[in-house]
Amino acid sequence: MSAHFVQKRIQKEILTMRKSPPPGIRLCEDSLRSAPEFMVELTGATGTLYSEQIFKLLFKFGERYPFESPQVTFVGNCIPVHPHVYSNGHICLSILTEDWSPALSTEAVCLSVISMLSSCTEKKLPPDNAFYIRTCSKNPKDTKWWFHDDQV
Amino acid sequence: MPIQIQEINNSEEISDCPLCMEPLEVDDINFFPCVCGYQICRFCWHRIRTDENGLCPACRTSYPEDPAEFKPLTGSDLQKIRHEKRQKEVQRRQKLTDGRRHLANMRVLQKNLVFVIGLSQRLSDQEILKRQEYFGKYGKIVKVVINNNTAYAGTQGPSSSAYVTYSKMEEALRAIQSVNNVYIDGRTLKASLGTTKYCSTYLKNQQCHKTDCMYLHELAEDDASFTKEDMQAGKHQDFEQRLIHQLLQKDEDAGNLGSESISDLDRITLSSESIVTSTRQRRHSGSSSGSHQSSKKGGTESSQSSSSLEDSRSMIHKNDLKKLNSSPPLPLPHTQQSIPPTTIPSLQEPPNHIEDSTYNNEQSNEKFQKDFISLATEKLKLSGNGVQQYSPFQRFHQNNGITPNSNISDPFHSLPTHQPFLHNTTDTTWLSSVQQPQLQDTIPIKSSNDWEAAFGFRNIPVMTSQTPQSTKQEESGDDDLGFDPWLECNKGLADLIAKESATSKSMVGTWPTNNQIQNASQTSYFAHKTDRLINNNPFGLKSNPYSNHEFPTYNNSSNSQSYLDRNLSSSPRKLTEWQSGLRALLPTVNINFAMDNATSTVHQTIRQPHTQTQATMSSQPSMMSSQPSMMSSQSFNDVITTVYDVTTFYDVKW
Repeated sequence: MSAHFVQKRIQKEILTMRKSPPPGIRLCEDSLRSAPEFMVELTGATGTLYSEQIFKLLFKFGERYPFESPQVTFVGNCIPVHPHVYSNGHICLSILTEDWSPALSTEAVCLSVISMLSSCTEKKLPPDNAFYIRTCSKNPKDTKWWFHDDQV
Repeated sequence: MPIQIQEINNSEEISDCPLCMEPLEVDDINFFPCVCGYQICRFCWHRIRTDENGLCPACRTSYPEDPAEFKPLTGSDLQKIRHEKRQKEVQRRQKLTDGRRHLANMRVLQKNLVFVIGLSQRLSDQEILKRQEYFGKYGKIVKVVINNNTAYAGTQGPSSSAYVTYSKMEEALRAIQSVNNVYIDGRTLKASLGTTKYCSTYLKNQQCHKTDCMYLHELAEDDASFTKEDMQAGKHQDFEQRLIHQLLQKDEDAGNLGSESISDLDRITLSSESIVTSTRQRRHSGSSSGSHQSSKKGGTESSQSSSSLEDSRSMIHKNDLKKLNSSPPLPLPHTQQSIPPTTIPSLQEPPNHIEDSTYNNEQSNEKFQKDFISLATEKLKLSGNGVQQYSPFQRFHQNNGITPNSNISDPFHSLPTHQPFLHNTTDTTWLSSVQQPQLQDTIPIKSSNDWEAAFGFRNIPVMTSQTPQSTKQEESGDDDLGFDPWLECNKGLADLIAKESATSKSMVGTWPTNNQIQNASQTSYFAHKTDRLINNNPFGLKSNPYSNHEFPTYNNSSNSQSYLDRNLSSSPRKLTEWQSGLRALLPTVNINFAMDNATSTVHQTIRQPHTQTQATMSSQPSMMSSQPSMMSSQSFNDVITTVYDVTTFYDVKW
């Protein structure tokens, strides 16, 4: 039952993204496989530090989605240099862990990430990047996040 | 946080639960668990409260114990909603049914369905009609339905009709072209495309539970749909004619791609020529891989490098030379009488051969065969004109033969019943073990046996008499002809083969018995399958351009020059003609001819540019199965198709 509605919910989200993608967000159609994961291409908003840069976000959905947040990481060669984005692609974003709400969606996460990038004022790695990427687990959700600041 | 709410509001317009995406149930419609007004279904609400954090997904405040707003619907409301729902469903169905009502009177022409009338009692059997000699020859039959209703009898007495469903439109059209107006068992067959109607379940918008229901379950194209009035006006026949015309056009186009300058007969010849070359290449791979699987002896041989393979071949070659001491590249077990040379084109020779040699055994039968075959070959000979009107069956064969690139589905692939034809293992092994060594660089000239083999004259009998898995024999048992053509042929031809093998045994020490060959090649059947096809290369066709030459037999050829060599040296002009013809026929292929008169061999190479195997082609047998031979297989198949059709022709004509 639950697996069924997880599928259904993900499909619905994919459909909405396909039908009316928000600006700067594009679903990577070729990443749509049977596995409950897909990729989304984000384009940095104009007028920001990441303007016109293209990043790839990988979404992995667990069985408890949407009651549990998806795993969201930046993938590919182009990972934004941002105080909340580790160089291994992990994102320090509260809605991806403890602030997740089932009412959120892929689209909402994408928008949050874009807005997070947009509000950045200085391209720099997180202060504990070197340490974190050495010690972290593959799944960013296993990390006990310490949210550096709420402004960005 | 504001982002989230915005998102929610977007998706809330649909009356699905935003979390599980299930439609909200009647009970949920007025169910708002949180004061913020965020609506979710009670299932999700319950889950959040028990398994999750208990917070409203939208405002993140914890859900109160009781839903903030829940007014259960009153009975009448409920009734109303349910009624509306039902109404909607009924309307939807009605609309569909109405849309389909007019289809009840529609008859839809099925492009792959042949409707035949005038079948005799003997033929009104699904299995008989499916056979190779009847409708099976035109393509893959999906289904045959016999209607024993004698209403179609007309003046000819009781007869049945049948619906034959082919896998493709082309097959059906060809069947119609060939079968229509054929006189068989005292009746004239009439064939046309069949029509079908919509399944009653489809019209009622219900699910059809019949397995294999032949009626339509989806909307057909408009062109092919006819009302009864249309049918009476003959509109469906117009449509059919149009389809046939299109098909012929297509065939013609395909045929014209070859070369306009060469006559059709030449075209056949040329395509077979090109095959011979690839045959030679294929045979390398065939023999090495085949022997690898089959015999230990062969296995060791094949495990050696290709050069040693060549060595062993040339050793045998020398042996043979010593033993034969006369005409090495000539067919060994070829003992048939020679043919009156100049008058008969070589194309005609092999059938005569087979006739002559088997004539003694089965006089009446063979006589009939002879008549038929000479008739057929004559037709074939004349087919260059293309306009000769014989029976529709023949017309079909000719069409088939003279269009090298027609879209006809290749009978070898599409027809399981062709298997006997493919099945003969004897020739291949024999060829690879005995002939191949001799023909290192010569265009392989094979005996008329090969010709016969390629054309199925000899193969099928050999096969039926030796391979138990052949079904041909059993099949023919229930044919009420009074005698069995296959069996009769078998007997005669088995004798012939025995004679041949005896002769060749006395000539070549290594000549294996049929059984040995059978065993050895049985296992390598699959490996050989394609090779065999090409191996069975028609010698008769091969020699076609030089048709004025005497057909050499073992007895009268005492010099060591090959038949072809003599031909080539005596008619260089023809050779060049033929070469340019071949080039014209295969414009995309780089064809090189090199003639070495000193050694009296003709080296012919067909190479396809951009082929990886190009360099290794002659040295690595295993690579041979790729492009070069594929290239000619198309035309080869056409040749075979022609000939095969000729052979099968008499089955229908009985």
